[in-house]
Amino acid sequence: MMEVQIERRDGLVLVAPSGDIDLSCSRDLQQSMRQALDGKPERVVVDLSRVPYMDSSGVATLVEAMQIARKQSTRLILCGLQDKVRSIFEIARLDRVFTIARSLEEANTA
Amino acid sequence: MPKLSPDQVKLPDCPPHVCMEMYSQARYLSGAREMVAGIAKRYGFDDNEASRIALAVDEAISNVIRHCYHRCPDGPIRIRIWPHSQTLDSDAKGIIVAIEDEGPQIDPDSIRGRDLDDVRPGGLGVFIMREVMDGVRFERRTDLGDRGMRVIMCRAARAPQDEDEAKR
Repeated sequence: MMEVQIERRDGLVLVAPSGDIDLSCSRDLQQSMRQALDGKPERVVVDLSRVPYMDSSGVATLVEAMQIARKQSTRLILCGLQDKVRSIFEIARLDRVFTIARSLEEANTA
Repeated sequence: MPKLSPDQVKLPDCPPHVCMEMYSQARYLSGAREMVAGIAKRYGFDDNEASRIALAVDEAISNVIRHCYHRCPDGPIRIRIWPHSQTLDSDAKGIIVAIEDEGPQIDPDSIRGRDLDDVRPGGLGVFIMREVMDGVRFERRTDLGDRGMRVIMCRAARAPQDEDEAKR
């Protein structure tokens, strides 16, 4: 089961899902991302360090979030990608489209 | 390993070594992935390759759940697995997976991955299947009258030197 924690502070929203993200829960992530982007924060950081697996339904959710973020000038940054998750971004050539930081610290200052 | 055209991807004419049936419920995707990855490792794939093959199967099943059964929870889905031997020498290893549904038939040529330059949500599943596997073939089933589609995917296990070359 995937769970998502959302934390807001000083114009930054941290979204931290944990668990596999596939078709069974990508709608929950979609809802969380929309919630995080609500209010047009300056920056949204998605910490994926506790996500061991993601399929294209999860990637699609993040692509949608990126499009919303761009429209409202919110900076969306992904960080902490595990190997299997990084792999799907590379297969889909989306590693060049998203801003991907290595760690949460780097994402907070990027 | 060059990609195979759909015509080169054939359903083996022997019974599958493994067969799993599930309802069209996304909560069973993780179980299907674990099964496929575990078998892929037995057929000679390393952890990374086995999880990529499991991803391709996940995408195929997800497509059936969404586009064939429109998320109705009672559609039958069958996953059949064979060790890969066709067109390969006797020492070669690999996997053939078929995912079958009992939904309406569609023109196999109409199933396409999207252009990656068009960055938008959705439409990635078929692209990922084709990218990860050596060959992918969509076809109409012939054993259920006018119902049922099948996707057959195959992937040969690479020798270590082939992997090095593939990465270059």
